[in-house]
Amino acid sequence: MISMIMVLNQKGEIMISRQYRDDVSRVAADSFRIQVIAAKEASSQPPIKRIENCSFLYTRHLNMYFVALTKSNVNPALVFEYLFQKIRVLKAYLGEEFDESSMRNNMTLIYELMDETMDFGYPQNCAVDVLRLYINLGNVKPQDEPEPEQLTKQITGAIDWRREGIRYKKNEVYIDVLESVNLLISSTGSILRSEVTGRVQMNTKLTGMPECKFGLNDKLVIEKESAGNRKKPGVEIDDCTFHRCVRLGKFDADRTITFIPPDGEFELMRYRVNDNVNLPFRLIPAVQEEGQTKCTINLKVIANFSEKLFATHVVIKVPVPKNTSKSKIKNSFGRAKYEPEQNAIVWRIKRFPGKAECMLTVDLELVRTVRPKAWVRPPINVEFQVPMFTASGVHVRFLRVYDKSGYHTNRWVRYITKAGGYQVRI
Amino acid sequence: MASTYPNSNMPVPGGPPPTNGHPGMPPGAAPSSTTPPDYFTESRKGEVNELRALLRTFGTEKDRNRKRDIMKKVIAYMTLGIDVSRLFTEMMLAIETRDLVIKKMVYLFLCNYAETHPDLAQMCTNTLVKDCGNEDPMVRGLALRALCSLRLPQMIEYTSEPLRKSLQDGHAYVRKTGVMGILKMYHLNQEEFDKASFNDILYDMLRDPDSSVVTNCILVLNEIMADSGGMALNRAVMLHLLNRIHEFSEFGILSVLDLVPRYIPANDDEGFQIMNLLDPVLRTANAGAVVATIRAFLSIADAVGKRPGDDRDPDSPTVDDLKRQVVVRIKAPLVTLIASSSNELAYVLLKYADQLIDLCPGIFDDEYRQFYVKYSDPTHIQHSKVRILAKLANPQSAPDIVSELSELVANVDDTMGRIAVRSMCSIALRDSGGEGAVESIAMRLVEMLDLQGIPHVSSEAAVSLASLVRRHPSIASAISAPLPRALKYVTEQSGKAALIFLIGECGESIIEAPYVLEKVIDSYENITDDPVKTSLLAATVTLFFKRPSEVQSMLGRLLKKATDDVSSQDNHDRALFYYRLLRSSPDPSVAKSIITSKSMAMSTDHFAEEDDTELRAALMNEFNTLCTIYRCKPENFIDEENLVKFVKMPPEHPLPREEAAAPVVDPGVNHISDQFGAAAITDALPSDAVAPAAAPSGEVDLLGFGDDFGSPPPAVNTSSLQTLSLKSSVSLSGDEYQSKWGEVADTDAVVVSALPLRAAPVSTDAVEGSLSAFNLFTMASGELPTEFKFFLYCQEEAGGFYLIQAVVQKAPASLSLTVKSHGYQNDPTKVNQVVELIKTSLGE
Repeated sequence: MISMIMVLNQKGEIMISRQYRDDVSRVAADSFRIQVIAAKEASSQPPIKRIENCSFLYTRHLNMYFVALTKSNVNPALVFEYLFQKIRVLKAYLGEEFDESSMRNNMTLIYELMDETMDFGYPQNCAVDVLRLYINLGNVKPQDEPEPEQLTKQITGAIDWRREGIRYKKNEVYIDVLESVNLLISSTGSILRSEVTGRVQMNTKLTGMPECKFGLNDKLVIEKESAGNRKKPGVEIDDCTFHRCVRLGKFDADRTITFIPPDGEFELMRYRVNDNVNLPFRLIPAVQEEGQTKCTINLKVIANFSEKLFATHVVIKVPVPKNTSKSKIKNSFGRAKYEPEQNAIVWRIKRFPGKAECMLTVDLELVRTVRPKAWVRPPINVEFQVPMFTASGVHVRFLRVYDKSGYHTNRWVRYITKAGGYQVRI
Repeated sequence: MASTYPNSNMPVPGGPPPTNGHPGMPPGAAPSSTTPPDYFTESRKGEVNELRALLRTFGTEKDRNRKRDIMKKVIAYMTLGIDVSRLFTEMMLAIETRDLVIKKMVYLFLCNYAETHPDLAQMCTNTLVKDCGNEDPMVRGLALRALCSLRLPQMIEYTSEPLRKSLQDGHAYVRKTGVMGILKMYHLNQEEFDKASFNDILYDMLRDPDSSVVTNCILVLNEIMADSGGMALNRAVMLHLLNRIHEFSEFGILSVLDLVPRYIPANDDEGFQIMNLLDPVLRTANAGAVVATIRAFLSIADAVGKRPGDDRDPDSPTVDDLKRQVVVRIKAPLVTLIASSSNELAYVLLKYADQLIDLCPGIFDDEYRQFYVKYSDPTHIQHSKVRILAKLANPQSAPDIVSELSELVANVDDTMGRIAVRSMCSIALRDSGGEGAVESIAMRLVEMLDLQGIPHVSSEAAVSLASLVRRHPSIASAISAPLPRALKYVTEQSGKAALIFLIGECGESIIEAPYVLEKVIDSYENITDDPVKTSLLAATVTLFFKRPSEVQSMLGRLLKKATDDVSSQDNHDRALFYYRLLRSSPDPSVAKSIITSKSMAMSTDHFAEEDDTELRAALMNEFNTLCTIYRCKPENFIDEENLVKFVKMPPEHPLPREEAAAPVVDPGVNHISDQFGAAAITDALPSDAVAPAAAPSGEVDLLGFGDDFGSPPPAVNTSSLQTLSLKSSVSLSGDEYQSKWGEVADTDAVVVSALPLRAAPVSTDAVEGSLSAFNLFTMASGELPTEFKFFLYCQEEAGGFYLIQAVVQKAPASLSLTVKSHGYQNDPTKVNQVVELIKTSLGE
């Protein structure tokens, strides 16, 4: 169990602390400040720190530290899940980017939440939808006040992620399929690792307690349905996890995804695809070091997706040696410049059309150094977003909503592929 | 009812409009006073007095929002650590309110200062006790929680009555708060607690219809009974909880999962049923629940698996087999979680993965790319990944892994560079890289010696080479050339010591070896580091026997210097030892045989000081806890009062091992079973709970292979496998396979044709996965429109190979096999066992 939860600011001052057990005290915050926050390489420290016999498990939101203190042998994954859930709850109440001042101004609300989500060091009810039924300060608008009778049932009921009696004039569901591509290419051009991790985010505005059935172009399902005539091969999903509203037994039996959704935004599932990844960008770098004072870098970038689409927010960081003194950059489009603080040429392209090709040529002049040290050549790093494209090829086949009243539902689906770690070694 | 409910936060008509004075504050979050208060200005003298004055007006203040603001100020001061306990009396007056928000703030204040002001706190107990009878369940719950959190031992008499009443409350919210209250009382005064005998009530309440009440009951019982290992378990309780597991909340489910490792299944079938029931939990996104499930699975495997030497049913699979199957099953979910989680969770999960890889080597090998370091990973994650990467090397993956590691050697982070070098070394030490890997790693290490710009890498490389030469003496001559050169620029002491040792070892192939050592000996006085001196002694003596004429005089000088040197007792004694040894016998060959004996070459794959088998076993018992993160046993970092003994229950179930002889269980347990017996809980799990995962024929789905197979493999039928034991790692290249296949005449092959299968497998990967769990490996496989083809092989411990060609017809599902045994005569019973094994892994 957890003895205390603290929220500290960057200076290590306690903003909020809630003590659940007697075995630790506020003084512990001092040792945490000295050993973790003030430590030189704060960002590289592991998220679990033992000071004497007290364990500090912490995570960060903006520049605040959320710290759980314990003296017993806890399940660390559970503690982190709790801290994340806590931050999610605060986001729902105070806005996505809540900061120090909004924390301080809503202190009493935060104390209320601390007390409801944890009792004597054990996590209690942490579902935002239920919490907002009876704690409604901050961003959360009070809803039609339910009868207390019903309310306590909600706090502890079996379907604790959705309450009854929700009503919408227009029934709508928004589905976002968000993928991030991880790619690592060696300096010889071979793919060391390529992988897609995807998330299906939903925003439901549905009346009643609707039963939903959701389908992706999962290879196993498609093969079963269209035994014999294989028109479109499905995507081989390596593994997936679900929001707890999904009936897992049903999925294990026949791979259908059925659930009663929470109201509003939630993450329905996560998945991982390893094979047949459509890489949105191909990079062909060439680096030549001439003596100790000159270096030339050529980079060709090819967009591999359909010409109907385009990528946005493309940022390509080409590393250069630390002792670069002058750079001459030629690029076909976008803007590229040398940013000494990053030791890189940063090339930004706002809109990158599909099937396009572009080139970057950089001539560098280097300063001679007293002790020549070989350049370690960090990888080229690429960031991008490609709307309406999935690197794994996953797409939503259907979402069926069944409710007693048989209303009509509007569905909106959106796809975005982002770069996770998209790196090419040089 | 609604009109009496005080918790409405709608602005009061006529009240001041909310101001949004603070930048960055979301609309609606602003405190509604006319001037935006700044709670955190420097506390000036007299501020507390000002607050007191404000509080005095509290009773007359009509506007609720202004009242709340006053309260907020008090709480803000409290948070800052300013002592506002002087306001106690004033605060207590405010407790009589219908505004829940104000009430909660007063309660918070009360709980904070009650300990230091027990007399004053006692005064407000009446109000609290009265609130415990309020008609609003919310108020009842809040008051009860506050009452129990006062931490005043003298208050127990007031607490126990409302507490007892709350346990029968109609509302689950009050009940669950009451249950937690019992725990608080327990910590306050154990004598009073024992008198109240809440234990029985708590066991009763495990049947509460509301899952959150049950969760709290489990947590409380576990803590109260920590001395005897936690909540008493018996079959009825365990099955009852497991049957309801789907009702539990995200965090509640963990309380049940944590009970499973302590439960001993009544029989093997029950163990498998529990696994099936818990299998869906592996698909939830909550990492805590997933690792708890993994631990539960491993512990069941431990309980139901067969151990060598026990007299259990010979049909049952062994513990190790089962554990391997568990790890095969949880591999994909664990990898997904690592790939998609936040850094904090990834760090924790990587530690678990590391432990599982140690437990069952080989299973994670094919996922090695998942452990490649990302440039953007935080350093502690990078370190964990690299350590794991080295453990995943097998003949197929080693070249990739080694070249990946050498990319990391020149990393900006020094520690990373060191770990990368050490990891390469460990692949070579364990000889897991297949043929030629040791040599190629040694060559890479030699190249690193020359990385002058990065001193820590060259030093680390030297240390690694020294270990390698001890393990593989044959590489000594290949690496000798650059050693004297490296000695000049390696600056770190550990590296120096290693190089001197190597120069002694490779003395035959380094012409200038004596002269290099002579230089060091002549500057003996300048050596500050003891290990360097030690290795200098060892190296010089070794070299003396290799090249006596050149070394003799310098050895004399060195021994003189070393025996005169009293800075290190160890070195001094060693020098004396060498000196006496060399003098003692007229025949130098005796001394030679002692010093240069080859027994120093290692025959195992790890150094004695790195042997941590015992620690690992201890850590597996505490799998999903901080122990794994710190890599130490709980008693080393947990205070005694927080230690929880690990006791397996219930005592009436047979244990496979003698060590876990019937634990002492609180006598309070026995009567629960009666109660549960009355509660009409069927002995077997209800069929609907198991149905989704259970095989149609009623056979047990062992580990949820049902995901991948039309029909799941049942509990392994190893009845006939007593004599066949297969190696868990076999290296065989495609060419070797072909030649072995060709060497056995087709007429000698055993052919089994058209065995009917219940259902055809879905993909080749699925089959290969389950085959490898039985130590059957796939050389090649492919899918044709009507059939799957597999070329399989396995090796017996004795050394003989079995080569198998398997054809699985899709429709109607059937299996044909051609088995060739290579290395000895056809033994029909053994071939039959291989055939059985394949059938088993295909789910028959």
